[in-house]
Amino acid sequence: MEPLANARRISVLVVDDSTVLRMLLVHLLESDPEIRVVGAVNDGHAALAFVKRDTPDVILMDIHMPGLDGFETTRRIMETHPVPIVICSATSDTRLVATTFRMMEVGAVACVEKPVARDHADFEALVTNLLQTVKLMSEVKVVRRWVRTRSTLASAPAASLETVAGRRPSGIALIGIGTSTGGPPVLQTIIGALPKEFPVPILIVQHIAPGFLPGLAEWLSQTTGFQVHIASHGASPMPGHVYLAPDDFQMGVGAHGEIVLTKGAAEGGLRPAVSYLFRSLAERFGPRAMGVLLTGMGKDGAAELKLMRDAGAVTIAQDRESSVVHGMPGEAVRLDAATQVLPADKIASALVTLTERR
Amino acid sequence: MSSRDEEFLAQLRATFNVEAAEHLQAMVTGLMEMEQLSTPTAQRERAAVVFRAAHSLKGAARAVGLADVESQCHLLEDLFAGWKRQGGLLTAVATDAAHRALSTVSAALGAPAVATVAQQSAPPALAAEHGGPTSGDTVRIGVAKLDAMLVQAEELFAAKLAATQRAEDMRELAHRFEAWKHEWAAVESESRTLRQATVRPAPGDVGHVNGPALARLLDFADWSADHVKSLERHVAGLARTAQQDRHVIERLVDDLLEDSKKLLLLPFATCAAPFPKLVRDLCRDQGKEAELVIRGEDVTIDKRILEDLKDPLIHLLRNAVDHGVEPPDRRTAAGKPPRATITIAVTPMDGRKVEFTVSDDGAGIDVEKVKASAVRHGLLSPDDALAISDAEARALTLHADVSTSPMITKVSGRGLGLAIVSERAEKLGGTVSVESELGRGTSFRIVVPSILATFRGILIEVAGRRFVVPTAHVERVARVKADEVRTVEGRETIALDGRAVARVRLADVLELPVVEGSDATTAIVPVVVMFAGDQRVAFAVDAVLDEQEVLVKRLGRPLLRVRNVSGATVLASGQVVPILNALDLLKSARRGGGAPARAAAPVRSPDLATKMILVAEDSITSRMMIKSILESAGYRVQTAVDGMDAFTQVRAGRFDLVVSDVEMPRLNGFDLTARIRADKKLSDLPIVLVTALETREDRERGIDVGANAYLVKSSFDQDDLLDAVRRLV
Repeated sequence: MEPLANARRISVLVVDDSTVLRMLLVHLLESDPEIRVVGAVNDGHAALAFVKRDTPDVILMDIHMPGLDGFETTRRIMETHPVPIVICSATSDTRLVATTFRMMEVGAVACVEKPVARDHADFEALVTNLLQTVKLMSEVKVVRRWVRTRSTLASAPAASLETVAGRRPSGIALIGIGTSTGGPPVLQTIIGALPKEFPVPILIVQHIAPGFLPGLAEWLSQTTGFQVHIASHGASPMPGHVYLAPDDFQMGVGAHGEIVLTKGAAEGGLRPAVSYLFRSLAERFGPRAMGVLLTGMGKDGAAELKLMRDAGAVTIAQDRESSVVHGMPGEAVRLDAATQVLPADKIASALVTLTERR
Repeated sequence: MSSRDEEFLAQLRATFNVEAAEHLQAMVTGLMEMEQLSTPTAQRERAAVVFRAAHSLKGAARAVGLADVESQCHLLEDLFAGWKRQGGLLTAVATDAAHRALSTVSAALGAPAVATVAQQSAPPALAAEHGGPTSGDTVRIGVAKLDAMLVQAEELFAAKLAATQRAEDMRELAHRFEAWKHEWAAVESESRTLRQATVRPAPGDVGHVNGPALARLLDFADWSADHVKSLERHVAGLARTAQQDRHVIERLVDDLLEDSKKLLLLPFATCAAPFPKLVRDLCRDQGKEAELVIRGEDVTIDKRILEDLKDPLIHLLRNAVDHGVEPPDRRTAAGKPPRATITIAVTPMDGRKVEFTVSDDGAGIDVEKVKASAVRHGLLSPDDALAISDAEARALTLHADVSTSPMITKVSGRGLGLAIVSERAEKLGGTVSVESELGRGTSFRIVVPSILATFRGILIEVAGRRFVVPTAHVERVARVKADEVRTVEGRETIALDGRAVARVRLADVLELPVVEGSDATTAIVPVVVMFAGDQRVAFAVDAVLDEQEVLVKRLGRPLLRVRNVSGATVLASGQVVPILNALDLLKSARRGGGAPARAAAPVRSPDLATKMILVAEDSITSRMMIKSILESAGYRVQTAVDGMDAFTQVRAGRFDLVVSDVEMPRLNGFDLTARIRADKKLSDLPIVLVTALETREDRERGIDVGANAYLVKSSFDQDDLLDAVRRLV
């Protein structure tokens, strides 16, 4: 390994209209020897101008700014000089969190909470999360986004069925989805494209900074029209409802299909872990479950998707092109864990087709 | 926590205070505007602006750990979000809740600092900066940094004084060669003769002289002469350079200080920002309705003046609401609109002055009540109460202890508020006046300079110590003979311009121990007549030394308030000297700081025919002082401001004697004397030189040029002068 002194430090641009927050963020970021703050600007126009001159490794972007706000700035940057953008948001208000996910739709890759004062109970955790996210996201390769329109429900090409060589899906009881970096827009795409009378409950593990989950649920509900809950222990999943694994719990299913939340050990440092969910589904439901592994950093769930496939389940991995980070699904593909590899906008129709009663 | 972290947190907090003040202001202004607008769309727009401010402040408060500010902002956010969505009815309950929350936040933040230096025309929340810290032609600077720089600029004043002193010293040094030259000129010819004699003795040469030794001595003398001449050239050169430096430094420092003062100009809007809310809250508390109109928000005024006037203006506003504005039903009954109008107007006037007016259309001042209150507090006798005019009665409101409130409330009734207004205004060198019509309204008018002028003071000596008194409060300097002091009701008074003015000893007022052997029996005593408002008191001192520009240094902790002393300054000599507070002195004097009248010492009155004396002196104070010494001894005196002026007057007029300073511009005292002596008509005119130069050489120069008497300032005694004049005239 090269010694740290020679290693290139991660360059970060901070965008926030509050002088206090800018000052604090710069201070916190610079306390990490691997990070170097190359700019701190107070509005979107300045951010755009900066990125044109000098592309940073990561941008830490505020949402609410006068003039060009965070959403608009993200969109423009991703359309002209794409850079991994980490949203920095005050999450205490679920009303306002919707914009966070809209920003993800236009290309932001992750979100973190705005820092609190040093003596606040959550200070340490928030700072650690901030630094880690910034460093991780600097490695994500982002591509230029074209002006996108919301994907509509495409009819399932018959070809996708033919790849499921010879298997007739028996009644699917549950769908499990696991995702991390870049997940929310894909979840929105998929769920939004499902018909209202979708017959199967969906359990989702979305790795996300704690505090953003309620906002995610709210936002998904509003934009998809589906009921999106934060899963609670012992609940019986209902058809057409969506359940998000709460932060810091492992989510699995019980003998009767009810949701089981435990404080079981973190897997791969993650809790909730996709691996836990998929393993539980493989054990309890075998061929009557479906597993979908979407964009995300790392490998969480890849091996367990294979378990599900081996147990007879239909498994889908998101393709490289539509993934923000192809870590998790990529590993799944490598392990041959997926029966199908699909782009984001085709997954919904696959789900519909595969769950249709025949 | 490491000290670096602590430092960072302190800086973060300071940044927060600035940002918080802006957001708070945006919310207050926005909320008040919302209450005034009527269309729902306009209200919604405002609500959106205010919502953003609340949101931003909440985030910032969270980042610095101010949980209560955060939660108040959350409350406000909710309120404003609701209004943003649907506009429509702003219920009184809701707006009151919002105002209370804002007041809580404001209290939690303490007094915010004003950040922007440039003039603001856009409301703070929308002053979007594009790009880095500079935008267009305005820059944001912390007030503390600006103040620090201005203090440093002021310190350069001392450099200016020092440069002046240095140039003076050099000039005097150069001057001293004159005496040497004089001496050398006298012996040079003899030295030559002697030298010749060593070579070729001539008849008439006396005695045996050791030729070689003498020659060596003469060589040395010659060498010394050359050496001294070269020193003289050198020193003269240095003196010129010192003079040039002094001019340059003077110009630079004066320009810098002048420009610095301009930096301190702020628009009135910055001071007036909290006023609308203040009026609104006061009205709400008392069940009255009033609207505040502010005019002249863009008028720029010295920040320090604004700071000093802020409290008085607040007092006047409180006064207007408490006393002026009637309850709405009384107003309608009187045919007035139920909503009163209070106006603060700022208008620039000629001569770098600014006028502040606070007026209301309320009940007006009840003159009878004012008189009654004044009589009750012993400020006015019942007879006087009948005699004085309404205008004079109204002016009484500006005194402490006078109030028309029947009872003391939290806001009014103690009679203190308006007295502070007049005190502050006077401290700034301004005036206050009041106009009112019963039933129609009241108007208070404060006129102050728009920039704080440089402080000028008179250096005096009393009981062996030196003090500075502010020139602005000195009416005149005079010399009073002991027998002119009358005793009226146990107090000493003197007659000035036909009026009796109380006379006290400054040493007594300052409670200084009397120095042994000082002027218990001195016939003539200098007095400094000080005034404030319409009060005058003559303070007897030991000596009046000079009048000059002075850099005021305020007293620091723990000396927050010292009676009679308002600050201190450093003289060019490096001596630290207290600056006396005129108002305190007058108060102390009134309270009988002076000792009871002593028996006047007997005085010789010289036998006079009316003799005319010309006094030539470039320093105003010295000139006035000498003039009054001579006048009180019965001479008639004319004055000249420098040597040329003196010579012209002497040629034109008929004088019996000239008293002249030596160090004067254009023509100094020595040369003036020489010229007078050279003039056939004037050659007998008695000349008394009065000077600071005190070496033997200078005296001898004085004698050389033909002066009749040579008096040195530092050991100056008025009797010496009068003695000399009497002998010569």
